[in-house]
Amino acid sequence: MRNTFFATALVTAFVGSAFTSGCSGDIGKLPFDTGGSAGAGVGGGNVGGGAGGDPIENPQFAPAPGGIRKLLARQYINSVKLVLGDVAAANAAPPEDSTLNEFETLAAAELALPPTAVEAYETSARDIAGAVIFDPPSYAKIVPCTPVAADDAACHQQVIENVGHQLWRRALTPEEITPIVDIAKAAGVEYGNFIHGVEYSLMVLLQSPYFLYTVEIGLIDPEHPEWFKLTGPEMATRLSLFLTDSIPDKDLLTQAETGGLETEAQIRDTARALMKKPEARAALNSFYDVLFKLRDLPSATKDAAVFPEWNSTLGQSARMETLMFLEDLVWNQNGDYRDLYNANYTFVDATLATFYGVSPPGGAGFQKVTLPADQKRTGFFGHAGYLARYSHAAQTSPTRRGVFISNMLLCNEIPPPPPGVNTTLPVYDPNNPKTKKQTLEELHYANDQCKGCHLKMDPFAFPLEIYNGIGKYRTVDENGLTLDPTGEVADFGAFTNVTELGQLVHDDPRAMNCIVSNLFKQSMGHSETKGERPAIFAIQDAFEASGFKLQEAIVEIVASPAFSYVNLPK
Amino acid sequence: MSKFNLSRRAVLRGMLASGAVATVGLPMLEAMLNTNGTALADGNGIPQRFVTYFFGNGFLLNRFVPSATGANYPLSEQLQPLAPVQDYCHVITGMDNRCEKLITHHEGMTIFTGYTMVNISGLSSNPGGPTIDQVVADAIEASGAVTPVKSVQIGISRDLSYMDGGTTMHNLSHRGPSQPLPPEFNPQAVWNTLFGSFTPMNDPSGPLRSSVLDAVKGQTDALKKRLGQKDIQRLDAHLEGVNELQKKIEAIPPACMAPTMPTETNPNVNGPEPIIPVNQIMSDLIAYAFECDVTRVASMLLVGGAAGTVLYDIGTNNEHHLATHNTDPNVQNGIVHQGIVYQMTRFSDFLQTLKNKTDPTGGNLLDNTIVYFSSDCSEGWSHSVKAQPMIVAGKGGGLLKYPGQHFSQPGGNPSDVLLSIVQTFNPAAASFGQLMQSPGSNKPPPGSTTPFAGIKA
Repeated sequence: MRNTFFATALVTAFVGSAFTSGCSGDIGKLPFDTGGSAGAGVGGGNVGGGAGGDPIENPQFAPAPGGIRKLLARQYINSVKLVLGDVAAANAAPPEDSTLNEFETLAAAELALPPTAVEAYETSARDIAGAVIFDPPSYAKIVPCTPVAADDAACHQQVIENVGHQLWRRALTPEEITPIVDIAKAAGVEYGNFIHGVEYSLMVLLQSPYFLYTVEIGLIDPEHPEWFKLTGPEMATRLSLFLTDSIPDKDLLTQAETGGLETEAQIRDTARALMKKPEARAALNSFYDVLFKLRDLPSATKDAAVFPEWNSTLGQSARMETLMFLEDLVWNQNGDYRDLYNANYTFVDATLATFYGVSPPGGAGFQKVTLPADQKRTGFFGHAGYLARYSHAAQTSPTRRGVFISNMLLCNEIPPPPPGVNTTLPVYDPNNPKTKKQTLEELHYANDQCKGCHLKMDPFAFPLEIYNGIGKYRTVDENGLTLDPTGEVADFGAFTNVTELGQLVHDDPRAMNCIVSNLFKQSMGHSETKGERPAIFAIQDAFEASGFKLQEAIVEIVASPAFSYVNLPK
Repeated sequence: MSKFNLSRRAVLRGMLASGAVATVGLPMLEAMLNTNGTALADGNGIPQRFVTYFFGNGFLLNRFVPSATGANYPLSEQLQPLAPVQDYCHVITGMDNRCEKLITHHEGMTIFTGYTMVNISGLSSNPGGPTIDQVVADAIEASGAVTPVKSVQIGISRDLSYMDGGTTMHNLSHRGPSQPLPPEFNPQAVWNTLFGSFTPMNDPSGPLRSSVLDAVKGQTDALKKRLGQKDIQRLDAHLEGVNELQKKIEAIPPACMAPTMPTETNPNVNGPEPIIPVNQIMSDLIAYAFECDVTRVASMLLVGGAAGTVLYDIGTNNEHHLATHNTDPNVQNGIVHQGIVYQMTRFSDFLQTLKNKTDPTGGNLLDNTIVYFSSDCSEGWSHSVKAQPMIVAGKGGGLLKYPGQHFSQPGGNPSDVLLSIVQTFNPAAASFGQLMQSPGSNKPPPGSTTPFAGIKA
């Protein structure tokens, strides 16, 4: 058997060799290839180099293409709730979002909808409309007139104009209104009741591409005629969706339509007002839920024989720990975002307190606690959710934990393994006991094909081996062997325990640049283009200047010309 | 993953539609057939159905490949589950998947498209072109056979690869590089798509809903004029969905016995997944849908490539994908082999479900269906795509050779087989897949202009 494997391995290893150069390049570089600034440490300032000042004046700046983006499912529901009320929202069932390269917003900007999604939108629209017309408060909210007949065109028109204006974030044209009035009249007559006309006009408005997609095309800006500046309503929609996961409310829309969302100062003020809403917290939670893959922790598969303690309650508590920590850091404290990586505190509920081995904090829900020093839980690197999510079902995976740190926290993308290599560790041999670290080092580093990349991922997670496959602290591994928590990553640093790892990530400018990049992707629905780099660098600099307050990074993103200008549609 | 919630109204509609009183068992009228019963009276052939069936992480070739070729080939250990339907199964071994690029697992999916994947970035890619089920669905539609549902996509295990960012590995059906058709994992949602959402005859909501969709189409056409090429393609796909929905609304509800709505929802849980029952329920739903001619095309994704699926039923607690990468012969010949046999048994369950159901047009459903099966590699431990096995099952309305044979075709091009399948639905098809090299490639492109004649009758 082994001979067969070996023979095939030679063939596939040869085929795969073209890929092994994937990690031979300079992993130390900053995400945007800024050359000399790499590793310069915090305080380098203006890493973008060159012009400084307003990025829109930088000759290298160019905005990304405009176009359309689908509302995310939660944005659809929140928007329905805003315009049509709670009963409508309770009946809203949009198709589920997909992700592309870990981001729902990338999928929403890139992928086409399958027929099943179109059908789900229709079902959802019918259920919303059907509920609204039989719920007097909801109905009163959208019908301002008293119909004189089932096909009262004037009254139907008022409903369509008012609701349509909000749902589509713009006034409807007469050419757009007429066919909808005709449908409403026909339905009113068919069922002999005006309310059914309202039902069918709502169905049109809710299934319209003008509701389901954001349209970001802009108008020529005389000051920068080479690009297009988002119109006020387009800007209000982009802003509101990013910050609160909903289309703009009436006040914001009116403000935008009357020229109140044009200047950078107006945009900053508006953003800060939106960020005071509870919906802003929910929107950021959703971002982290996807970015850190927290949302499926309650259903993460773990081997019950190895981890009898794991269940969906613990998974949910672990998910909430990270979200609570971030909500406190970003919103309650408005603190230094780098604390995420070296904090000596976290948040636990009764379930997690038991799991971490501390006494329950008392009170309902989550409380801020300091965990026992011997566990060395350091910020995010001690969170059970991350440690469990990036492990296998029955054991830890330094490789998965390390790839996550490199890809998602430092924005240094590790290419996939070359085909034809054995990516699983040898079976534990009691006669020749080895820790996972020793095994990985022997397996991955003895082989040049593996070494290039694995040296840049596994060692990150060697200190994390003191936490098992569900994030439980341990002093020895599953075979009773003493763990060696030391590691070193080239162009990153050496560390002897979790605390030192956390401090290195804390101090690494790539980690702060990376969260800006990830938020930017979330807000824009695309990865940074070359032309946007001057804008990104300016955001990163301002983030640093603020003392790494994430709220300031968010404000800087929306105030950036990259956010308010677009190129020709994609 | 999917949390499709049935609307109250949909459930109500479905309950009405499937109530014993409300439906009549009315198979295709004999008047609709020609006198021989071999074709429809209007000259069209008997409905040909097509299914792709997939599980990830490959086989063990020395326990999969039959020891002899031709008809009545000896069943290997991993083919043993197909014994009850062996006469319907062509097994093709030795063909090399010609994907020009390698990521691990992703390249294997070229055996369903004939295209090299695109938009490669880390562990992420999109397929370069449509999957064969969508090519066939278009061919069926072009032939004039319009069914209420053009095609249906079904998934069994929800634990798809979670280290994987693109669309290639998470979907078995694609209409193009950025048009995945996601699998539905909830049997109730599949039931609703196939049987639960027909508009009763004389219901005034039908024409009104259709007029709503007309208005939506008008708005979409207007919006397209302001957009670039990429977004126009996306809205064209949206319009395609609207058109399909309109056809469904306007369709006469199928005149056959619809099954009752399954109670199984296949929820996302952190424990054993109900793989065996869900595979069976989904198989039954497809069989009913074929019998009623609600759709003629389906894809079934049993277990994803590089997935997190644990096959608890065989007594393991670890991911099958991880086990396949363990080169310990004891593991390979133990749990990996058992896992492959287990998944082949699910495939066989599906084929037997078709075989056991009478086709109203004559014979059984498997007589008038072609089922195409493969994985994302030949052997999981290496994810090699050399000698990637394929199975073509079903008589295809007599267009495929019977009984099934084993063809050993070292170095052959899998797209040749795919082209021969497509030609049974569209005799004019001259090629399948990608005929030009990808930029920077010096390998032959994975497409085909030379059908594999072996399987054709």
